[in-house]
This record gives sequence, C-alpha cells and structure tokens, in this order.
Amino acid sequence: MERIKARVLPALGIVSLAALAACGTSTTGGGGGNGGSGPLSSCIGSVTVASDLPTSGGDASIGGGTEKGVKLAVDQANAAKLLGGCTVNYIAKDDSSVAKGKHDPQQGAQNVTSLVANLAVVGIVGPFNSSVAVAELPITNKAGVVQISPSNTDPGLTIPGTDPDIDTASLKPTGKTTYFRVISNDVVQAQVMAQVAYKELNLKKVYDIDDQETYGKDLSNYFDQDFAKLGGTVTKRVSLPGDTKDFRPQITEAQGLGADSVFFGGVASNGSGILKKQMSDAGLTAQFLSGDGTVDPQFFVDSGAQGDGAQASSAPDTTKLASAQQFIQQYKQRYGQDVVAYSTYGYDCMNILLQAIHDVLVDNGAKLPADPVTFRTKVIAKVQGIDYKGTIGETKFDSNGDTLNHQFSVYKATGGKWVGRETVSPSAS
Amino acid sequence: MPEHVSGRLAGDVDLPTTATETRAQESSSVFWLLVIGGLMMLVGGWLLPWFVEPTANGIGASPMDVVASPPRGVGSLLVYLMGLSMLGLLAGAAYDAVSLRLRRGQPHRWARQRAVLAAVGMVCTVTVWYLIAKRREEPLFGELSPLALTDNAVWLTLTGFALCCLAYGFRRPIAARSGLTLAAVALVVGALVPLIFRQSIEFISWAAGAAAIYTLLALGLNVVVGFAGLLDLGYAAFFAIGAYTCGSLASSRHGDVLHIPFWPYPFWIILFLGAAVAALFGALLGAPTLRLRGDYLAIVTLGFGEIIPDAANNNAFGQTGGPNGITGIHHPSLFGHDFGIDPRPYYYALLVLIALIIVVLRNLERSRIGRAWVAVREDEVAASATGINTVSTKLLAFAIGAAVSGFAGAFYGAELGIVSPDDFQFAVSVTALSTVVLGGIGSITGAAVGGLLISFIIFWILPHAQEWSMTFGNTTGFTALSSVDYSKYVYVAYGVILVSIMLLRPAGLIPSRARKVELQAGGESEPLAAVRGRA
Amino acid sequence: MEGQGEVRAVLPPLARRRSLLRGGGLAELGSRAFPTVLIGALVLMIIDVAARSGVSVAGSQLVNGITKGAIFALIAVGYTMVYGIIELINFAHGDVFTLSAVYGKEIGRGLSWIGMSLWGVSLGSLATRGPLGLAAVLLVLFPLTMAATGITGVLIERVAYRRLRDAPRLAPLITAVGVSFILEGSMLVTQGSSNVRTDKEGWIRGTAFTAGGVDVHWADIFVVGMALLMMFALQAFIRSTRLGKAMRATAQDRDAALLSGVNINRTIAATFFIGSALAAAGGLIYSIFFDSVVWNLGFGFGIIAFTAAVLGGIGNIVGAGLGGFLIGLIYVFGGQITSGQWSNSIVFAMLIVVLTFRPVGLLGMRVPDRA
Repeated sequence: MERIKARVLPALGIVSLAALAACGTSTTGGGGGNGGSGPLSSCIGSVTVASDLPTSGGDASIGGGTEKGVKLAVDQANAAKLLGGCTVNYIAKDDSSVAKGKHDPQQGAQNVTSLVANLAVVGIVGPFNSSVAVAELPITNKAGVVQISPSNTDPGLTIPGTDPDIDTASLKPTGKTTYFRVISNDVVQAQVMAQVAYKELNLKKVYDIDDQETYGKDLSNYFDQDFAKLGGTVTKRVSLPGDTKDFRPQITEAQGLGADSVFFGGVASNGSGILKKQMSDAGLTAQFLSGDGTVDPQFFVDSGAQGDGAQASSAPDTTKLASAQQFIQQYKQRYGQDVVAYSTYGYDCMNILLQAIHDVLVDNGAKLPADPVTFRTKVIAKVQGIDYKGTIGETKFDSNGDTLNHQFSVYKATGGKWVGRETVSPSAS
Repeated sequence: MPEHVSGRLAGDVDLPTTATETRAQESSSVFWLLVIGGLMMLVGGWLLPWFVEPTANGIGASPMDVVASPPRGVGSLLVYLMGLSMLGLLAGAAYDAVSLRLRRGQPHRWARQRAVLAAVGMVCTVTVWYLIAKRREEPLFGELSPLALTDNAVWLTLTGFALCCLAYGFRRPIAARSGLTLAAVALVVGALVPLIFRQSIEFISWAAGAAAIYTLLALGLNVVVGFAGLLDLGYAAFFAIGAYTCGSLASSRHGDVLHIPFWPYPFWIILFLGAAVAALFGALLGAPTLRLRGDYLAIVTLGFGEIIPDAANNNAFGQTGGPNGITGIHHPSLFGHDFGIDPRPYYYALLVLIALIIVVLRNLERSRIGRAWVAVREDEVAASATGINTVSTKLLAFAIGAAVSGFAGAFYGAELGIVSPDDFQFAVSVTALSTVVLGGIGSITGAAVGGLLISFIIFWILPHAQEWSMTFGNTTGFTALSSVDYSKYVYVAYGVILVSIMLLRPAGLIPSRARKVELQAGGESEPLAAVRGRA
Repeated sequence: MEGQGEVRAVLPPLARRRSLLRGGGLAELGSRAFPTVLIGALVLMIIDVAARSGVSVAGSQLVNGITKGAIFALIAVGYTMVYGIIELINFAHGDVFTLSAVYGKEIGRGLSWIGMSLWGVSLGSLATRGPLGLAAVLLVLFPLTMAATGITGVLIERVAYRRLRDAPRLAPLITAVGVSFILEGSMLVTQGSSNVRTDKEGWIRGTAFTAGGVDVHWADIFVVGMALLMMFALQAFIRSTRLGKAMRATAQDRDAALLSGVNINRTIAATFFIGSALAAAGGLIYSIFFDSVVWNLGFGFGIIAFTAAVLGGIGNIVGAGLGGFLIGLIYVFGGQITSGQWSNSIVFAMLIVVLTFRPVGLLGMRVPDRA
C-alpha cells in the first residue's frame, strides 16, 4: 500500500543518446529542436546564464561539485548547439567568503545584485543554502530573474506558514513566483525513510544524529516525528557540529541505549561515512539510515568497505536512470572525480533553465527577444511550465515553485556503491 | 626589506636605526604594494567593455561575453600595457606629490617626468573613454542603465586607484586633523561614491554591505583592543547579539512589541535598542574578564564567541530560530521612503552613522575616559593607583565596543533580511581583529581603513578574481588563464595578503600617534616594553 | 637562571607567591576552590552518565574522552611552548597538525613505493602483518613525519614571525592567522575539499582487554601511551639538555638569555621545531586512529587545543597535557548530557568559570599584560 513501483524506468527506453547530450527532452516547447539544424539554427547572438553556489571554503566539496554539474550542462548545451546558432555564456559566482569560511548571505546578496544588474543574465541556478536564499530571493524576485535551486529544502522558502522562522511573503515582494527548486522538501523523504525503517526493516529503536545544519536538523526532526508516529522509539536525538570527526561517544551511547538503528540527518561531507565506519569499528551492529545527503561517493571514501549495509533515501534511482549513468560517467571523465550529492541536481537545474530559454527562443522565431526584461519574464513562464526528464527523474513545478516530483528511492550500500532499491512514494496514511 | 625588522642579530634588542629611514622604507614598500594592488584591479578587466561591441539586440555586452568572443590578440595586450603603465605613472605622481610635501626633502628621481607622463596618460584615458561613449551613443553621466556598459569601468579603476593613493599619501595630514574634519572628509568622499560608481550597483551593494559593516566592526573592536588594550577574540558575539535583538524586534517574531499597526517598523528605535542590548551584554560578558590579564582575557572572550553562536544555533530559549536564524526582517524606512533592497539608502544611512560614530569615538579618545583607557592599557596597577576605577573603565570599553557592533548587527539584519548563526562564527571575530591590527591598533582612521581594505579584499577582489582572469585571458589570448579555478586559491591568496601586509607594516597601515612615538622612542624604555608586552 | 624549572612548568617560587599576593583574597580562595569546581563538575557529569546509561557506558565514554584528550594534549603542548617562549598565540598550529597528517600520508605513500619496488612490500601490509612489522613502520614513519613537520614549523617561524618579534604584539597574531589560511588553502588545493583517507586502515586493531564491560582497544592504549611518551620525552629534554635550558632561559627573560650567550634565534627555531614535531605525532596518531583527514580539520582542533593550553596554564607543558585530557573528558561527557549540541559551549563555559576563579589556569603563572 505504501510502495508504488517506479514509473520512471519505462521512460528510459525512449531517451536517445542525442537527447542525452542535450539533456532531456521538453514537452512544452515547440518540439525538441536539438542540434545545429533545428529551428534555432538562424539564431544569432549569445545568452548568458549564471550560477551562485558556495564553491570555496567549508562548502567547497559539496557546492563545488554542484557547480561542476552546472558547468557540464552548459558545456554540453554549447557542444550540442542546444540554442542553434546562439551560444550560452556562463557566469559562475561563489557565495562563500573568507570572512565566514563558508557560504555567506552578504556575498550572495552582492552576487545576485550584480547578476540582475547585468541585463544579459536571464536566469540563475542557486543558491545552495537556505540562509543565502533568504537574502537573495527578494532581489531576484524584484528584478524578475528566475532562480532555480538544486538543494534548498526548507519548506518555508516557498510555502507560507510551513516554517515559523521564515516569512515567505517577504521573499516575494512582487507576489510572482520566480524561485523554483528541483529537490523535494524533506518532509516526504523523512516519511519514506521512516516507513521503510519501521515496516520493512523492522527497526524499533533509533538513535538519531544530526549535523546541526538546516538540512540535517530538519530531516532528523521529520524522521523522528514520522518514526514515532508509526510506533517506533527515538532513544535519543543528538546534534553535533558539522566538523565532528569522532562519533565514538555517540556510538557508545547508542550501544548503551540498545538502539537497533542509527539515523544520520546530514550530508556525507559532514561525516556520515565516518560515522558508519566508526560504528563498524566499535562493533555496533545497528542499521545505519540516512537521507539523500549521504547518497554520495564520499560516503565510501570515508567508510571504505565498512560502509556496506547502510541504507538511505534519495531521488528515484538516479544510478539506474540511463541519463544519470551517462552524466555520472561524463562528470568523472571531465573532472576526474566522482559526483557529489547535489551534482545531478545542479546539472538538472541548469538543463531546465537552458530548456526554458530554448523554448522561449523557439516561440520567438529563433531570435533573442529585443527587450531583456521581456526575455527574463518569458523564461520564468517557461520554467514554470516545464516538464523535464533528467537525471533526478521528471521535474514539474507547482505554482509555489516546488517540484511535483515527490518520489524517493531507498538505496543500499553494497560493495562500495549505492544500489537503488524500488522507488517509494509516501503513503497517505 | 627593512633590515631592522628582520631581527638579524639575536633578535630583539635592536631597534629601528633612525625614524626617518624607517618611514622612508616603509613608505616605499607600501607604495609598491599599492601599485601592485592597483594593477591587480586593472587586470580585473575593467577595460574590457572597450573591446566589446554590443550584440545585435543590445544585450550581452557584459565583460563575460568576451569569453565567447575570439581572442583579440596583440592589440588588446598593447592596450592593457598602456593602461598599466598609465596607472603606474599616475600612482607614482600622486606618491611623489605627497611625499614631497611630507619629507620636505628631495623628490624621487624622475618625479617630474613621471608627473607629466601621468597627466598625459590621464588625459588620453579620459579622451578614449569619451570617444567610445560617444560612438556607442551612451550618456557620459546619464541615467543609471545596466545597458550602458561603457561603464564607468575606466572611472572605477582610475578613481579607485587614485583615491587609494591619495588617501595613503595624505594619511598623515588627515590623521593630524580633528575627528570632525576627518568625519567631514569621509562624508564628502563617501557621499560621492554612489555617484561615481552609479553604473555598478554591485559596487554600491558592496559598499553598503560588506564595507560598511566591517568598518563598523573595526571601529567598535578598536575601542576594546586599541584604546583599552583588551584583546577580544570573540567580538562576533556582540555583533550577533545586536543582530538578533534587532532581527527579532523587526520581524514577526517579536515585532508586535514595538510595532504600531499600519506604521512602518520603527527601525531607528530598534537600532538603538539593539546597540543598547549589545552594550549591556558587552558589560555583562566583560565582567568575568575583569580580573584576567593578557591572553587569559582573550581566551574568555573567545569562549563567549563560541558560546553565543552555539546558543543561536541551538535555538536558545526558543528565541533564535535555530540554524535557520531569524528571517523576514523588515527593511527600514525613513520619512515614508522604504529602503527595500536598494543598497543606496543603506549606504547613505551607514555613512552618516559611521561618521557620527567616528566623531564620538574621537572625542571619547581625547576625553577623561580615553586617557583612563590609555592608562589602564599601559599599566593597570599604576592606573588604579592614580585613582582610576579600572573596573568601570574596562567595562565601558567593552560596552562601547559592543554597542558599535550592535549598530552593525542591526543594519546587517535589515539589509539582508536574515540573521543566522553561521554569520557570527569565530572566523568573523578573526576577520574583525585582522581589520583592526592591519589598519593600525588604536587608531580610528586605521581601523576604518583596515575595515575598508579587508572587506575590499575579501568581498571584492577575491570573488572577482575568476571573472577578471577569464576576461583578461580571453582578450589577450592567454586562454590558459580562463580555465584556472580561482575559488581553490582564495584561502592561500588571502593568507599571503595578510602575512605580507603585516610583514611590510608591522604597526599597521596607519598606526596611532602614541604607538608610533613608542616605536620610535628607542632604547629599552617603559613604553617600548609595553608595546612588546613586557610591562 | 638554571635550575629554576621547566618552561614555566615548575614555577619559580617567587612568581607563584607574588601572583597570589597580587591576586588578593579572591585568588587565594579561587586557587582552593578551583580543583573543586572543575573536578567536581566532571565527576558529577560522569555520575550522571553512569546513572542514566549504566556504568559500562560511562566507562567506555571515559576511554573515549581520554583518547580524545590525548590528541588535544599533544596539540596543546605546541601552543603552550610557542606561547611560553615568544608570547604568541600561534593560530596556525592547528593547521600544522593537519598538515602533519597529510605529510604522514604522503611519506607513507613514498615509503610504500620504495618498499614495493625493492622488496615487494607496501607499508600498509607490513604494518598490518604483526606487532614487529608495525613497530618497524612506526619507527620509520614517526621520525620522518615529525622531522618534516618540524622543519615546516621552523620555516613558518622564519618567514612569518621572526621579523615581527619586536613589532606590536598583535602583528604576529595576524600573520599567524594568515599562515593558517595559507596552510589550509594549500591543503585544499592539493588534497581536495573532502575527507581523504590516510592509508592507515587497520594498523592497530583488536581489543586489548575488557574490564567491567568496557572494551579497551589496542588503539586506545596506543594513543594514550604515545601521547604520554611524547610528553615525558619532551619534559626530560627540556629539563636536562643544553637546548632545553636555553629554551627555559629564553622563556623567562629573553634579554638576559641573550646576554648570557644563548642564541635566541636558534632557540626559538628549536621551540617551533619541537612544538610542530609534537603536533605531527598527534597528527600521525590521529590518522592511525581515524584514518581520515580533511583540509580544515585543524581549525576546530586548534581552538579546543588552545583552550586546553590555557586551562592548564599557558606556557606550562604539564598543564597543557593535563588540560588536554580534562577537556577531552568534559567534551565527551558534556556532549552526552546535552545531546551533543552544547559540547563546545560546555567546554568554554567551564573554561570561563575556571578562569574567573583562578585567572592563571591550572598550573600557570601570571602572564604579562597585553599591550
């Protein structure tokens, strides 16, 4: 009753290689005119897109990997002549500062100020962090520039009243939706994981650790709620700084509490692999559970062979999707590194933006709209109406800018790889 | 490199040989630093729009578009070189003009020739700029339009660089003036900034955001560290307290307390409330440090600097919103004009505020309290023997320093609409301390300059390095430059800048007069020992 | 001047008396109340954990805390030595610790390569072969890594601190921050932004003994044993060698030491060498224990270790060791009691309380006023 087999896989057969290079097909625009001979072959000029992600300092690992995904999308679009005769320029901004050592709302606000002032920029991928989003959204909203975030999960950014700490209306001074995100909020994900843990894995006592960041803390909160609702016990909830490397005190405690599972609300770069390894070292056999932040090759860098057996939820089966496979290979080939948790999201964000631009150009008769403001407005409308099948599944947006893709897969760490199990949608119960 | 600083002998007793020699050496090394800094700004590719034709539809004429256009080869390289040399000459002339006055001695060789060349270069530059603007039919001083990318780029570079040189050159006369004159000069120059850089809204955003906030922090921390000699490694804690107080009073969290329905949020009252609360906490948190000296005091402040953001992150008393922080902070308004997200009103408000604070601090420094601070800093026992209440003197320093950071916090939240625990970590305290030390401990002007310089490096030069290098690489044909990932090197670059500035100017860019006297006094005198921390 | 004690380890009697006199009544009270406050709080925390989660959990946490503390202690010694001799808070020291783990990794790779090409044995396989193999590996790896890190420390001093020795006191503090950025940045560039393995997987494994339901692993014994060994060696070095005496003399009065023929530059360089080498020992122990390092690891470690140095009484080597172990324990038990989120706060709150009662730390003496 809870689980529905994925309906994503059958769609794969029709995704051709050519389309992959141009990253998915659109059902909204005037036919997939990919390649140089399409309807846009007469297009002259260039279109500028941008990204704003934290790529230095403490966020370099995860933000930098996301930016690499974004960049790859741009390069592929240029190589495959997605916009026909027009080229895509790409501005990459870094919203972390040396003053903070990580993402900095002040830098973010300054970055988007410069991006929206540059009328050539028609859309921005980012930001990565919720706090930066709060500082940036009013600026881009007022200027009418679309922002697509690969990673913001705080529900309050789009849905009024869901997060008492965020005044959603203040983020939208014009009242129009200009901000979209391709990642589902954590409520759904936590629900899926709680159900799998309780009903399928038959776990009853969880020890919950979060990484003190917005994402991790929220994910753990929701997981605790759902797990308790189903009848499980949360033996203890601890909250550790993101730079924690020594989880032995917590493992000792979990052993003492007789927990049969450990949930980690946090990203791999904040130590999920290290935790798993130390659990094995200490002989704690409890099941390791986590969310999509952990479905990341870094997990195995940290945990080695001891990572096996961990289970975590993430977007539907990205490793099985042929387009994702292709992306993961291309990424590795290009950068000589593995993708990080949000590379696929960043890649899809940029592809959605480019697809929307493509559609606008097709509607406009293969010409760049003369008025930049109109161009920007049209791109927002096309993003709103997009139906895009990419590496993270099918993305459509509701009127708040949230993705309608609420499906999650559960992944199991097997032989140094995240292997997807069946796709799960949360039950109504 | 100044030999005397290197401690070539056994290391510590030898002092600067003569004061003039020292000054000359220091001056020339900083001068070269300035030249290099200016060149880097230029390399920033601000000359680029010169070579970019507007695209058919009028958009896309941003410097970044050059990325897609073919390399321009030798021609543009030549123009770069021309620009570089002009700037160098200009800087040289400005430097000579100033040093001539200051030293009353011999001007540098070639000084006159350089001045003439610089003037010619300046005229050439302005002419070229004018011609290009003319050809592209853009107004020289017209309406603010992002499309007008002739962009006062040239202006930005030349004026910015010239201002730096002049400010440096005139630092002595400026420092000799009273606080009032200083504030007046700062006001006039500052008021012109949004006009000069009207085409670069990002620059104003930087000035109203990073620059103003870090200048405020530098001014406040200077009271604690510079005036009273209390090393504070947790200054961000007070910044946080001010920001959180104002944030919660100006958002839906506790907005009802002061908010009259249908009226705008009383930001200007909240601003002072925030400063007052920060001051209160400054005194409260200062209390445990009263008995401590030296670095034990520093470690206690560091402790508070760790505890306060921790508390904010853990949603202490349910008041801080946890890792999300406080959002939906209302923008201020003045006489019915909502500041909104436009940086300019903030810029002007902060400019006035900073000027006022400088005047107040300047007067404080010269008042009874200021002298008490100096006394406590130099010798606490002696100070208390002469009847100074060391307890209240120290607490007052903490309170005033905290109040200034409270102002900064209030504006920080109001501008960004969010305050979150990440914004007040140890790194911010360290950055604030760097501004004070770099500028010159104990000198108000130094603190302000340090705040400006550090925020310019962190929030302007480093974030733009990538773009500048790409545009430079693409226009000159050095495409290798375009593919360098600069965000990797940001930390190394910042570290190298910090170390080299400190090595070149150990006393800071603009040392306070008292300290300078101490440094130049010579001999193992008491003040020297104080400087070396051996009192 | 000789025979007056370690680098402020055993206080000159006069200084101690004077500090009590100058501190007045409260300090007198404080120095008595001090052990009660700290040890009492710690014991209360241990009892609380034992009562709530059982004695065996409390015992395991004790082991966890002590091993954690051992690494803090090794880093804290470097802070305290540098402080003792040039009164500088060497902010870069935490990053030297990280750097040493990276050195350890790279040197290990180099040795492995040599071993593979000459004898067909990699370092890892030798180390996991048995106690003798491990001992052989450690005997090669430790000196090499410690020497490399020590040399880096000396270079840092030469470039960034030496010429600022007579500058205003905060100037070297800022260069230390700058050096910290440079070190972190270089590791970011060369090692990447994520955790990297240090190729020391499973070098020391297995349980040594079980006492009262508490497993004590060989690795735990190794960590604590090495830390104690290093610190005793250092203590002996400073007490009895000529260089050690020179260091003590320089710490007490640099000018007087200079006049009596001590080569100040060499002595200070030696201090940096030893402090960095000890951090390297810490870094190696850490990487054997956790087999993971990341470019900004030392930042958090540095702050905590510095705190440990102050808690013990800055400038005092025994104090730094003691402070390290205490902070490790407070961190672990405080963390368990407050669900982890307040561990840092507890450490610092405790520190503030302790310093309020006893302004000079555990075993410290009054430091000069800061200008």
